[in-house]
Amino acid sequence: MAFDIKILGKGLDSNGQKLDGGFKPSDIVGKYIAYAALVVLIVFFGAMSPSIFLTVGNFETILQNSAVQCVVAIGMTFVILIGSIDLSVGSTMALVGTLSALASTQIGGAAFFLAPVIGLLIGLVNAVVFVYGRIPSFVVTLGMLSVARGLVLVIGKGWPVPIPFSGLFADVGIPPAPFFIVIALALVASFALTKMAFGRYVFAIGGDEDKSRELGLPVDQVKVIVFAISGMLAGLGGGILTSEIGSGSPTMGTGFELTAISAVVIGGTSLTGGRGSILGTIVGSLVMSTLANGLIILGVSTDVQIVLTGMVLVGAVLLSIQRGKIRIMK
Amino acid sequence: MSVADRQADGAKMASTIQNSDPAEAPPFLRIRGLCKQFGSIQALRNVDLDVRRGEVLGLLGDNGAGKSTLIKSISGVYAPDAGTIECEGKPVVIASPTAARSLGIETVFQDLALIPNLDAASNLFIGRELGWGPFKGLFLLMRHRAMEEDARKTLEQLDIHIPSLRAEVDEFSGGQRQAIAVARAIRWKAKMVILDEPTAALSVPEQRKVLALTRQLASQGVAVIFITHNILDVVAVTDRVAILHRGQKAAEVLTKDSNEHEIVSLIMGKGKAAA
Repeated sequence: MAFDIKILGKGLDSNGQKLDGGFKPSDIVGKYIAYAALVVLIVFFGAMSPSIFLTVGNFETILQNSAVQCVVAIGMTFVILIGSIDLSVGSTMALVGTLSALASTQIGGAAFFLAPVIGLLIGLVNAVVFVYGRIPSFVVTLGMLSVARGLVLVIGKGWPVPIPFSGLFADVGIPPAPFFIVIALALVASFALTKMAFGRYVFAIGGDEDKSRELGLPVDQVKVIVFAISGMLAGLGGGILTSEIGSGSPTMGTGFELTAISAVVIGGTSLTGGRGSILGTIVGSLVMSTLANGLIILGVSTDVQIVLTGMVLVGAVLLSIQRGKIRIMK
Repeated sequence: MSVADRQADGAKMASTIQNSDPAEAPPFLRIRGLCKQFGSIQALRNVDLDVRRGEVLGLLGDNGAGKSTLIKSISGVYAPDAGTIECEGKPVVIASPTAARSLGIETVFQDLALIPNLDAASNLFIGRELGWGPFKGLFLLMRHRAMEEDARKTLEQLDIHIPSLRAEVDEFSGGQRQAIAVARAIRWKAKMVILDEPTAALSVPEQRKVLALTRQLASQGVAVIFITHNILDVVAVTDRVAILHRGQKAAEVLTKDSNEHEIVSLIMGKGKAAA
């Protein structure tokens, strides 16, 4: 049998396929668009309004305003990485806000620590219906969006529930206290995603869920944990916001699912799952709050800002989506 | 056992095989009277088959001849209705893919079961990551460097070349992906590897590389079942061929004693005499 075993030694590129280590232009755009956008926005607003925008106080305001958004978006990052979506985060924030405000009349400031726990329970309900009921996360969390918002109105009878003391985060500190929570959370979340087997399975499920099952990975368990994390962080976000504004408001977190998803996607995480990072989400979130802050300083109305937020989201996806890997759009 | 140990082991094994008549070497897997029925269709009828370490066994047959039913019965996907399987002389029941793996039987199915967005090292270790300290399961703390180093060595010793250990396997060519899937089987100490049409959908140079890798596995003492439709692959890579026809073993011949024409006519069910 004439067989030349040496052909292997020549490397596996002889079929003419050029491989460059796996980077494609769209990968780079997707990964770094948020960083570039942040720089462009700071330069632009800095040039337009150096005396107001380029001040330490204003950057503190930006960090303060993006903190809750970052907390919720970190949870959303896990969800989007497995290729799912959580539309219930905004309503979860409001329900947790109202419930923990009610609790604070009994147990005081300790109610703040109840917030992530209530959020976790809401996330677990989503998770169980999604994973064991086998229906799309889009549908489950759309249902929860309505259920949780309705419960807020039923429980609070449509009125804000005030907290009986000035909140933990009512003062804008230097630097703002909630941002320390964000930094701590981001470090823990990044560690879980990059150093723990859990994180690797999150990426694997986002890449190919069927094959992940075939390989014996604990797919259902990971999905339940991911939705529990998202609920928990939405709850924490609701708690911080309640503490900041001094009451659990029935309209709190309205449209926050869009804000969180935008931060994640602008931060370079693929909406189809399997690619992305926590750092990207933080930067994506800063892009959104810098944009909002700069537009306020320039005197653009908040109504116009809502229009721009939507355009920024679609623009980010237009620039970063990997069309070679996703052939069919639905 | 490292790949180097395995190669030494394989060399020993190969010499034992050469010293005796290959037909008399004790088989790794001995299948007797295997039957499998799906409704009214008899997919396998009394199939006998021996698979030996250090040997590439070609499994041939037309579509619907029972090839995939047979390998799924060996790899724990199907439970056979009748018949016995002995592994290294001991009777075994292969009830699940995990049971097959614990016997050292790894199957590389056509879909390869690689996660497209993970790199080669991550795919080699997926589900069996190396970790620090007492943490297990989802809390396992991954030893990235150790896994990458191990992957590099495994690929090096199997003479597999990829553009970068950190590149996503999605960026690899079909042959490179096939090679990674085979390397994973080897890394986890496979004693037998089932390759399901490994050259289908590959370019000609890549087919040759997969064939070379297959020979290399055999030379390391691994028992290989090679399923293919390509008669040239059969001649190039197998030591022995078993031909299935309508669920029965129609023939079993040593590749060196046969030729392409005979094998083709056996696949078509004409029998040895008609060749």
